Amino acid sequence: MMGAPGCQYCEPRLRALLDDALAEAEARAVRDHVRDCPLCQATLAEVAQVMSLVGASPAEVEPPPHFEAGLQVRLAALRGRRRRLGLPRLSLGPAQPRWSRRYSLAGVMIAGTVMALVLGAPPRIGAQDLVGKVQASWARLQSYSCRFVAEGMVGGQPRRFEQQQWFRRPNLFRLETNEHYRETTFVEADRVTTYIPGADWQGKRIAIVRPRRAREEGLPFPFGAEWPAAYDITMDALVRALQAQQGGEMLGTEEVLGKTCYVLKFRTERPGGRLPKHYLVWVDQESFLPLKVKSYIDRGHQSVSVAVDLQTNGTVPSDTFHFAPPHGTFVVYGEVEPFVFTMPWDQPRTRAFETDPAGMARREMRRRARYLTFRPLAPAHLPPGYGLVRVRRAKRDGWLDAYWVNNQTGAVIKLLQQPSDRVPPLAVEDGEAARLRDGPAMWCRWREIHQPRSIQYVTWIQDGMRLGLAAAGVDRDEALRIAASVAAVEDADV
Amino acid sequence: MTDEALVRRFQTGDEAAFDALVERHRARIYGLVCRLAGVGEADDLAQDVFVAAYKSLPSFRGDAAFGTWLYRIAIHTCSHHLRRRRPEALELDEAAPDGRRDGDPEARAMQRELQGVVRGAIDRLPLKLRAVIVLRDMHGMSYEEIAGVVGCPIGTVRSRLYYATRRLATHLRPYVEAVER
Repeated sequence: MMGAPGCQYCEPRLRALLDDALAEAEARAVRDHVRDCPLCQATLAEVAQVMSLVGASPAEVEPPPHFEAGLQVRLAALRGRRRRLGLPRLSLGPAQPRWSRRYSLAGVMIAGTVMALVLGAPPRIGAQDLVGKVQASWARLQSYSCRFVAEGMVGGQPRRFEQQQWFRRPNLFRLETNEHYRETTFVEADRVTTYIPGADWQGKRIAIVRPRRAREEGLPFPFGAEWPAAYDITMDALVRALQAQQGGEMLGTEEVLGKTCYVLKFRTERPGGRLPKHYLVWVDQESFLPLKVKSYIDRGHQSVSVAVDLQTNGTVPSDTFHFAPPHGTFVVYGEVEPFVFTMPWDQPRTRAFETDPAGMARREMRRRARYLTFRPLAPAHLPPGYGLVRVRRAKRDGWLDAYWVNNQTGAVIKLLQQPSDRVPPLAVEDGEAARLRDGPAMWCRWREIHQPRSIQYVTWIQDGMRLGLAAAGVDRDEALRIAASVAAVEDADV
Repeated sequence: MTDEALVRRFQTGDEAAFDALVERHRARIYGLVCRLAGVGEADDLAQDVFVAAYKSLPSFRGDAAFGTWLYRIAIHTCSHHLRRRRPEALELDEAAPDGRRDGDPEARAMQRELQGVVRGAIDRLPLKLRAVIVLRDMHGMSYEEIAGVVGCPIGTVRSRLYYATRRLATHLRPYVEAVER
């Protein structure tokens, strides 16, 4: 190349630079230019941000239940035909794995780490044996506590996360963070309680109780991270990864936190032609538990997690995992997130929030209407004792929600609305069909749970909006009454 | 069991092997079809993909990985459908459950809103640009894999990714702000 390349040459290559898809000489030339060019630096940052934003969207979408049934019906006709005609028999050529090219980039990264290792005496244990011992140790583990520290890149952005963790088998967790404000989460068998001592709700601390879901993301030992679960490295996931591992290789030994550890390198394949995930795991020679894990997919998705001060099978007091609200704590329950209560409020809270919660919700929606392209809907009827907490909207028309709380019982009612053309239609998993009102008939889907306390869920379509009501502290009839009273907010000029 | 092993089983008469392949790849193919053609079309089109795969699998030789081959079918199915349909795919949202904690619930709400905006911006891209950005940034494919799936040279993948990214940057520039407090 004659002379140093300029913006015209480099700018179209910025994306490929971040994707590590340029030849070395090309990449070097572009990097050299970017170093001295504020314009290309700004473009590079913008490209990286877009990549991060797009990458944060999940690739997988589970189809609705009827999809499988519909597909089986279509396949049944083909299968019948196939049986009648006999199966075509072809001999496959040998499979041509294409992993080698993909590994080159990760190989550079892993090799760099390997070079940095201080290799102790060659380990007298093979990779498979080590995996077996880790699995056995995990199965024997009854409890642990540690300070978990994770750093790395998620979606191209640097992240750091620190959390105190306690665990007791079979399924109890306590997690404490101070990332934005102090927050303690108690994960019990049937419920999750988030306690925010620094919150101030009418002079009280806040604790929020919700049902424990069948699938709780981000539960650690001790390598979970409160990051998108695609990069989660829970112990269970790590054990599964070890079981499915390919190319496992013992690299040597290294000290981590004063303990001699075996270092194991392995990778796991990911379906759908995705880049494989590469791991380095440091396993304590005494306990055969992982103390450190390094994972790598590509430059924008890598992390190092360390369990500091790991204590296992010690005595963890039973009250560690059960939340007993301190005096002066307001315990709420329902479908609500802590910051609904902790967000700063730009309006003074008046008595009308308690005495006229429906009217105040309409007023708050009217205030936001000029930012919306849909006419908001609000309930005319609410059960007694519920005051308005707040109304929120997404800045660009995505959704609007409102929360009311019973200041005696802590029960929360939530109403969420979104334009119905942007969301999937109501499905059977939303609940059983129920009539909301007669003449003209309006139907909804209803379901309820009773864990830890009763919450009614009603979902329906009205005036081009998909509405979802989650009402704690009321019965089915009352929830349907609230939903049936929902109507367009007058004078909400959009 | 690997995809290749399931394919071999299917090719020798094991119908359940195909069902296992569907279960394994269903969510990703459905997600891809949602992004390329819209949620409203996804049910039928995703089924079309698997039906086409079922019909062609007996003669599948393993020249590419099964997943890559399936992606190729999905791209062609969506492309064919959109060419016939006109106009472009609708703006949409998707049914992906958001059960992931992000440490800060406020950040999670902001993330949800922003994801909706990002998806809308992606939907406005022409199909050729949309396909490469979805395959690269959402599905994690390499340039070589994308070239194999969409059937174009790697250089074309590179330039399409560049243009797709720049267009998204233009759409998204005013949107990267906090959810209203």
